[in-house]
Amino acid sequence: MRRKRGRVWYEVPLSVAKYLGLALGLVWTLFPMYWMLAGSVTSNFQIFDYNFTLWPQSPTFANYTFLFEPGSLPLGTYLRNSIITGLGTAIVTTAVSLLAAYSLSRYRFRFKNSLQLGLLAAQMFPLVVLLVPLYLVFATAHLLNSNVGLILAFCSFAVPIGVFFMKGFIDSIPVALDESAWLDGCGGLRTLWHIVLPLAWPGVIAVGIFAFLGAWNDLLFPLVMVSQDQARTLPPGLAVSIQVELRNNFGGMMAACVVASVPPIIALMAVQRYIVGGLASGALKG
Amino acid sequence: MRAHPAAGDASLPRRLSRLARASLLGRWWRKVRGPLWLVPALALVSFSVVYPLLRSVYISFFNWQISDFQGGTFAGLKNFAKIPKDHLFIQAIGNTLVFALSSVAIAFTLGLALALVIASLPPRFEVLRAIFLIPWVLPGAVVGLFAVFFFDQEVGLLNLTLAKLHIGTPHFAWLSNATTAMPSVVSMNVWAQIPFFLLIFTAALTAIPHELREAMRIDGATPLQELRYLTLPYLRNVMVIVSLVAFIGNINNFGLIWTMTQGGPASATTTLAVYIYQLAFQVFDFGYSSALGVVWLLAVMVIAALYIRLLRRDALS
Repeated sequence: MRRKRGRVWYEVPLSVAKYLGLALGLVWTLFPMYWMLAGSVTSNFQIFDYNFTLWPQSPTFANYTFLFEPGSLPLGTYLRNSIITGLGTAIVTTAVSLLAAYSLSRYRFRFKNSLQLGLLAAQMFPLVVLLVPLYLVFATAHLLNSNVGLILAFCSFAVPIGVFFMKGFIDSIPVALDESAWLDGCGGLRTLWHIVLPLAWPGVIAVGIFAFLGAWNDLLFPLVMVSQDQARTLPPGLAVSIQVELRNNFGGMMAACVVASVPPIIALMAVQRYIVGGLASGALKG
Repeated sequence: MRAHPAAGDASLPRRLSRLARASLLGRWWRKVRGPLWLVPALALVSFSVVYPLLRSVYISFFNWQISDFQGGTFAGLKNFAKIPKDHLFIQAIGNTLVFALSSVAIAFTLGLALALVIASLPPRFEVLRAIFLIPWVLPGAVVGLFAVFFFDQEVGLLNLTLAKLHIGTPHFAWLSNATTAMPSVVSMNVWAQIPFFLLIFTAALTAIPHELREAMRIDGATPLQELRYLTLPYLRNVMVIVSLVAFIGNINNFGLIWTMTQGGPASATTTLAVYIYQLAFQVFDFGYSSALGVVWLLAVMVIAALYIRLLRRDALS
């Protein structure tokens, strides 16, 4: 028989095709990022001289120093605002989702299922539709041009999915552990803090990182709610500055992109271990 | 002996709870403390989703433009009557569908293929998965700016490469040509979205029982048969759900499109999200943009209902 196990005619071509696909995928994924990096260390003069090659000839950090010079765009301020809103959103979102998920996972009460579905549906509403009324609300509450306002809004967009994910995580922690704490006279909050939280850490970190990413990456909301540089985060800062300070300055543009990309990449590397097993199955199966 | 927490145990400190258990207050507390922890989440969501949603419906009945400082005048259904005659709106719907459907279709296919390839390789290649995920976490504005550089008429890598190979028109303006702008935006969006499909499909693949695969191999199934009769049927539910989630995400995409083209040239890449943003915050027609939003909302609710039904069916089976 030709079909002896492990030695069939298509085995070699198949594995060649697989590795070829993998290599193609890697190039497709990495090359744009490499090109961004290469552009960021090439002077704009060289770029417009068509004098740049696949490998930067005379790498320079001038683009980066330019970004932080006084008189260019206030990238330092954008960065600070992005960090504040990102961390604030991550902290508030994890706290709020943890409480809500614990309640949904461990207590029984009326309307629980409808509330859960309502939360789930809330994240589907197109943000653009909410912009006008949100703008009016924020204007009345003096939350325009403020980090607090942005945190509040980012949190409410991150909480529904955070609750959903965290509930999946807490559901997988045996109730028996809670029960023994209850028997010892531990209240709900203390049980959550001492028993559930230590076991739910991976979930807490993942929810926090996703909230951080949502805040860090959003353009639309801060574009509407912030009109002054002092409160602007990175994405609207970049979108605004390509019309002004970075117009036709591709080197500077790519350097700013690299600066804005580093924190999300670090965040991804921090949680990627948990992501595939945890998030995907938890979020999909609910 | 105390009962299961969910069956109504006291969660106050002991002394208080002993006092309270018998009283009316205690019964009330036991009823209320579960939902209590939900209040912060519900408050946040009501503040910035539920209330704005209702107010959006309210505003859509008003004629409210930039000159109306104190809010508009009641206009009944006039805003809604304008919609069918709005050619830009019709075009924006078309653009949204083209953008979302083609992005999902292409990223779905490539993401699935990549997930299958990685899953079939030895485990040491799993470290690569983290690299494949990077485009997914980059801000849309960053991806958009990179695209502005890459597709640039003069110094973009695409045109430089094509010029070297003597293909096409030199100095072709990809992003300001009404025909090529949309495909350019979609291709960049696909680059950013493949990781999402890769991630979900990888997770779904790991859930397929290993014994089934072994059994098929022992019976002499070819890899193609394995894919056709084991892998794909197992992934079917995930495929439907992930497509819906990605579709909803894509019709809401703003960051990438806005930084790449701002909806141009000549509205060729103006999706609904971009159009409503422009109407509300560049034309400042609050009333009409809210009316468009309400129409869109109804459409999204249909999709959401479908999604929730799917999730429920999935949870039951």
